Amino acid sequence: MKGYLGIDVGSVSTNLAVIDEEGNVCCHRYLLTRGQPIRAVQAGLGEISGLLPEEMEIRGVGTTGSARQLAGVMVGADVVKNEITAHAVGTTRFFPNVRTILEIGGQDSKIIIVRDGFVVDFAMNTVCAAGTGSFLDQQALRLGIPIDQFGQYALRSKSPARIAGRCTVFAESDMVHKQQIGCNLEDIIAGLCEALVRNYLNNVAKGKEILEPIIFQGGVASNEGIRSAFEGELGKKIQIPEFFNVMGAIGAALLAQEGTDGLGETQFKGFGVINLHCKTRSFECRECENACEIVEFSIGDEVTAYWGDRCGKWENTL
Amino acid sequence: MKITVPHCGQMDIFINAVCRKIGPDFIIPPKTSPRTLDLGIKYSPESTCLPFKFILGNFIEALEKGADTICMISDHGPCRVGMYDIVMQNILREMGYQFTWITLDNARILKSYLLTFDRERRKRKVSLMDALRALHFGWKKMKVCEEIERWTQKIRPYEVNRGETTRVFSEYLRLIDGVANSRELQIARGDALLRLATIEQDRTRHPLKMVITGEGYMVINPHANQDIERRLGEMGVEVTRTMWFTSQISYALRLDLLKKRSKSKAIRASKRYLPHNIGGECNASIGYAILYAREGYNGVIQLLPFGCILESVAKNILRIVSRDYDIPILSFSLTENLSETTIMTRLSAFVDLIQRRRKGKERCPYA
Repeated sequence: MKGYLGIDVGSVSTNLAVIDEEGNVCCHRYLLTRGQPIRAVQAGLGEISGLLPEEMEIRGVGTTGSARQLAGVMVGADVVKNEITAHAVGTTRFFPNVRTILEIGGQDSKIIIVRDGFVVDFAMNTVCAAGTGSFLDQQALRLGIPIDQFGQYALRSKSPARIAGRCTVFAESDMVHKQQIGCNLEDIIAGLCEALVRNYLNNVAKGKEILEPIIFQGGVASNEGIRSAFEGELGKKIQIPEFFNVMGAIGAALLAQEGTDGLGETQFKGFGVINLHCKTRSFECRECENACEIVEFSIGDEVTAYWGDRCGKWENTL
Repeated sequence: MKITVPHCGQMDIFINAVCRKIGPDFIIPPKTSPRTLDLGIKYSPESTCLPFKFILGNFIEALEKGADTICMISDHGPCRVGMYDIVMQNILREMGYQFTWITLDNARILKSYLLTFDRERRKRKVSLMDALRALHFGWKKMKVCEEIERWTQKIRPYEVNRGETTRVFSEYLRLIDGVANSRELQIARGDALLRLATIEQDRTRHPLKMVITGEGYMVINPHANQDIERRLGEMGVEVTRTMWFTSQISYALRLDLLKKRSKSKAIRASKRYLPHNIGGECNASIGYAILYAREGYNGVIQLLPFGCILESVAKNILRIVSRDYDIPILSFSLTENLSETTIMTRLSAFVDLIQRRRKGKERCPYA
């Protein structure tokens, strides 16, 4: 049986998914990156290798997410793709008639506009991380609420407090202020959810035509408070897919299937990479005024990849 | 007198060509580097636009090298370049530098450029013939450079060894900068074209065609736009851009009326969306998107410095152009804080978008 593996290494979470030839998800894992992408990928591979159906053989690997290049050289990926394409491919597999994808992850948020199964427009947050998972995590921690209950608190609110969502710094000081004047916790949390959604719609989604069906995914989609704030603000129905937090990995797996289709050969190095000693090192190249930051990737003592050089000088030495 | 000017595209080649023949002494600032930008950021107002920071950095580095006269263009209208000269002079004087400042006024070409140039020429006792000859030679050099660059843009998406085209191009730029007369220039041109033709290429590829438009400084300077042209080329896209040294001068001197893709044509094409020419590159950005969409290009990338009011106007109008002409347009707002990952993610997503769209159209052409 042929299987295809997708790995999505984001700033907060590392997700893996394996699909079969028909594009059905066989198994998936969601782990925290904890700032150590190499270790997260190794741990993820270890876990998923135990979940694979018997007699399944990996015939293609795709990586995506902000550490896609690193993960790609590490496992030997056939396809290394940006997360916008990966998410769009994953979502259109399950919802062929989707027209809007809202995605909010750990450090970035994006909107993808799809028409007739093709991406026609997209946007990502540029200068601001307000409204992403990291900020919610941080606020949950500060308020002493487990992040998985954050949404329920928001739903219990009767009159959400008004909180400035433009910037995380203002949002936080506004929340402290509302606490101190005696607003209750539920109202503050619901107010925060509304502020984040407003911020998202006014920045990332500015000028985009948001049409149904709307799919909301990424780690933050598990937060019911944000979801209901979206529904309230847009006046439209929001759907959350079953695999909302591993959609990027599923997309990468589908792209790997597409990429190796007809070739038959995969670059995948096998699950043995779990035990290899991989390390990276970065330095500034001083050959010209570009001063590129070069990343050197080595397995054991052997350098296997360079990237970051504009001219290709280091890359071509291997 | 040691004059300096900011880096802008390959303008240094033109200046070298002219001043080696008839003077005066020029001090070209060191190539724009991360240090240049760091200096610019350190001494600029925080909210000013990106070109300001690069140019101020250039001036500081040129003054360090011993320049004593700064030449800088200015403009009237809503673009912030109109306040560059005054603000920069204040900043540099506060830093303790002493220099003479010459403002070249973009709105009064004749008075500001030609008469200044002529006065300088007479003062230095250079004959009019020699001066014109030197200018003509510089102009020819720029023409050759641009011709070679247009070829590199076409060849890069086909190259087998990443970076080879770019290396050949910069090698020949250096060579052309050094040649002393027209005969040598022609030989260098021939060599360059021959060398480009020998680059190993994979002609089975089917590159997309895109045009880069937007604010001039961002479009013409690889150091300011994070080398977007090369990056796209290496992703397999045939790129062209709307801002060139010769096209800009031709436009300023009204010599481009018969050209196919001239700036005046672009401004005329934008009339339907923006009847009044509001200045800067705003109208041209809109118009070029239309001209290239009509030519069958697959996508448009608009570059703007974060906070640029004129290009923000263009950005919103381009959204309508994108719908009317059915062409994807990506607007890139650039600041000094943009990371390489962000750029690559967006560029590759944009390329994917267009590629998948093209594939889809091939599959069901009447959909």
